[in-house]
Amino acid sequence: MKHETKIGHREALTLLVFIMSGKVFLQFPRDMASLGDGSGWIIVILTGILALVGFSFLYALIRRFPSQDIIEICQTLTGNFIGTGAGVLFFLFFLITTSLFLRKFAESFILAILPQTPISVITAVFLILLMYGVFLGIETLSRVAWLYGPYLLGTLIIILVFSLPNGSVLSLTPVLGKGPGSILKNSLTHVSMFSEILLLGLIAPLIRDKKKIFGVGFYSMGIAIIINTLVTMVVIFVFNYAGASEIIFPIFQLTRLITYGEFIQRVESIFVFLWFFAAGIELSGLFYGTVVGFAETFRIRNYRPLIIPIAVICFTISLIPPSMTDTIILNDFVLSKIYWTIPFGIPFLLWLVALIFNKKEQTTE
Amino acid sequence: MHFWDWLRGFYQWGVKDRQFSLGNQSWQRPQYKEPEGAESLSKSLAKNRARLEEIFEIPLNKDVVIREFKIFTGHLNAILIYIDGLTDRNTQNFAILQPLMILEEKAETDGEPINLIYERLLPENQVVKGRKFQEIIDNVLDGSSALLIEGSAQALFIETKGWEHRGIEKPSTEHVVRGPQEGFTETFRSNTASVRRYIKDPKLITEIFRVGKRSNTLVGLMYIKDIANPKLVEEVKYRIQSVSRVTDYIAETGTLEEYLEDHPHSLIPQMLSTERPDRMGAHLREGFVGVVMANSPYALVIPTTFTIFLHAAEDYYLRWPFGNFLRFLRAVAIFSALLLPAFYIAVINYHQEMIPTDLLLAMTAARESVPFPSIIEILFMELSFELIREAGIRIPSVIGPTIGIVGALILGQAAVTASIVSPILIIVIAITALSSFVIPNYNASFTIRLLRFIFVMFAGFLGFYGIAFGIFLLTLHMASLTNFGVPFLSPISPYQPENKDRVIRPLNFNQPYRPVFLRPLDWIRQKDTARPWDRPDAVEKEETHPEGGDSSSDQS
Repeated sequence: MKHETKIGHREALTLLVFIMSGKVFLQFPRDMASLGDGSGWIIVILTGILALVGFSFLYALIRRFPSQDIIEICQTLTGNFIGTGAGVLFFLFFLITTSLFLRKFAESFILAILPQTPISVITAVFLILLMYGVFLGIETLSRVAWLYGPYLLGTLIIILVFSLPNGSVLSLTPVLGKGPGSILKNSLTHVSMFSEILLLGLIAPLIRDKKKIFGVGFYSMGIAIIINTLVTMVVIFVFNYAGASEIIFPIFQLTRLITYGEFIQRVESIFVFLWFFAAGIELSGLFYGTVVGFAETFRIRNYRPLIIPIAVICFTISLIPPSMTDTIILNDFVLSKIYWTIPFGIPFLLWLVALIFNKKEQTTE
Repeated sequence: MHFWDWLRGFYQWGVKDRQFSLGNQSWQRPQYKEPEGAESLSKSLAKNRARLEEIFEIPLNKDVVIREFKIFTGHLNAILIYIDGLTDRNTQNFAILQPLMILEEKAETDGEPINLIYERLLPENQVVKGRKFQEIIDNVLDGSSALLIEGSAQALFIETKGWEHRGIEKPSTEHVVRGPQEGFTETFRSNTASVRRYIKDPKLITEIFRVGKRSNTLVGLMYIKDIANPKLVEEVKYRIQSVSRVTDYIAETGTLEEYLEDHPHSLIPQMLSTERPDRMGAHLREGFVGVVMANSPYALVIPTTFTIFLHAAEDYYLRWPFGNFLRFLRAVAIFSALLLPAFYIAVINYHQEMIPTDLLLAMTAARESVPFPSIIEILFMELSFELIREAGIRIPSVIGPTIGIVGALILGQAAVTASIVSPILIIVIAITALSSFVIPNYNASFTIRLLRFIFVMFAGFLGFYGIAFGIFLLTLHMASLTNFGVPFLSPISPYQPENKDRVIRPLNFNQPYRPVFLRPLDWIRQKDTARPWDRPDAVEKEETHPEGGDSSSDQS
């Protein structure tokens, strides 16, 4: 199964952008507003630059082993014991990210359109989608991402542009928020907002054109940084930081406020489609990471039989936090402090190991 | 054990589909072997005749005629065997029997008699020699006459086909206002000739196979040799040949389609069946492979991608803005035919806040007297409409219009008056029905009709969430399909920048490349400088191949 398919660089890029930017539909702008006041968007940019540095280590590692994914590299470099341990860490990272995102998306759907529906139904229905998507494979997933990508991005831009009349420049003040020191500190601690780039480590050997792997990672991060920054900025621009940190789903709120004439109003139900597709692509990418991470760690050749068991685990974990607030606190304030170690820390260490022992893949070229 | 085998196969999903791909030139299908051991003719006419009588069950079977006569002024016995009704009487009388029985005295009588007859005595345009009984069977059943003479182990097959058949008529499901008005018919040769009239190219190949052990239907595989990817041609040929001797009866391209396609269970049609020779010609020149079949007025175009179902033959015959207007209209129609009832259900049941207040009040008032939930209403109306539609095809044409009016009246006016459905719903159903007739392909419109019910169910369960779920599921499914190694959603996803004819059609002269996803042998359809007076600077520049085409086109 492992390298059974190949994916194009465009498709991989879109998938990664979705995976890193999908969170803007949730509490991401809110968190940034409450962290940095008016400077929330500056934090995103700084964090993005930091994450790019982190990515460069990941890329340096991938480049030394072009035909292996990150877990295989891990096992080649550090042997079975540590390699498996690191693999388990990767797996847990993807598992918990998937589960908590699933929970948050489900909560948001309940809040927005289906107030009477039990959360387990929404989560289970969504998981059916994820299972089907991962069952079909990464090639299909990335193609769907590419298919939806331009339209979803276009819709997002329309929402942002149409919200502009509701805002005022004064809302962006104070521009430096709680001060430069606070901005720097928060940027350092929140670098995990781009930690989903780890998926590139798993899909890099599948990308058809090996020369474009760097471009895929770099540009996808760049686009994700731009999207995340713009959304945070517009949210603060419209609601100002005090208002924004009170709103649980800022983009949804933005959409509700859009009113043009008699006809274009209350469009948030349509917005649900944008939301759903973005969530679908993001979560199926993460779920793919979970399943393949497990399969790679334990050297299982066909990952498909693992889909149903892992889906059940995801379902269970997603229902563990007692409320939405707990989920947000757990994900955005507790776990995000340690997340960055996995996608940026472990590749850095591995890269050091590879550098010190001068290990490289034996290529025939 | 059965279950485990099934499960193992189930988890191999996606692996087995990718065995065949257009990119992998080294991968080979097993060679097809013609069945051996066919029986040869003997030199004795009496023996041959006895064997033929045995084969054709002659005394019992009244269709087969054996005409005995003597040639060379009574020296040589001969028989002519043919099927009554399939052959043309005049040809037989004046081009076979007359020269052999009356005019042969003028011919010299030395040499092998069969060669003499072949060379001098049969004023016929198609005469073929054969030595096997199987050839006699095939040719006679096709409508030729077989001539056997005493002392020769060879037979002559004389083309005398001439049965009653329908003439070329207008296509019945693919009308156009502007453009050619002729369609395929049931006659094999007239179909292949129709295509050839659009592509007068010596490289247009027609390969002929027979499928079905009993039906022995002629199947013609048409492609342009220096454009179509040889791997694709080989694969289609392989599949047709494998099917041909396994199954016993294939009457129509619809049945053949089911045997050939990659995903027979899928709701998505995977081959374009068209009635229009011009449409087939247009696809052949792009590197597609066409299949025509005797007795079938529909030809197949292989492989098919999603965008083809959005296109109609007329788009390119109309001027650019008009053709694009139709394309746009069609895209809207597909969405409304697929989703409008589901949207209605979702809005009525879950998202009332989307409706403007005045309209909401009117709708509520209209729905007040209706005792059913809206999903029952809409299923009832959809079902009734499907009934009218199906009945419209089966009803004898004399009473057809009456039934149509009655049905429409009952279902429209009376259902509203009787408070079974609400008037808004009638509008929804009417728009949906109109939209579904806009879809230019009969198969695709079936797909949409069926999917519509599924979407109504999803919307009934979960509102917009359910619809979004359905759309996503459908997209995943379509993105996973491959037809003969070509991803179903190409050139949209995987993206091929060279091919711009997706939803909006570019100007004809702005499309220099053939579909890249088919990996044609010749990429260039026309030069960039198709209108040299528009861009004088480009005339000097030599045309170049699309750079990196192989890496960007996406089949693995």
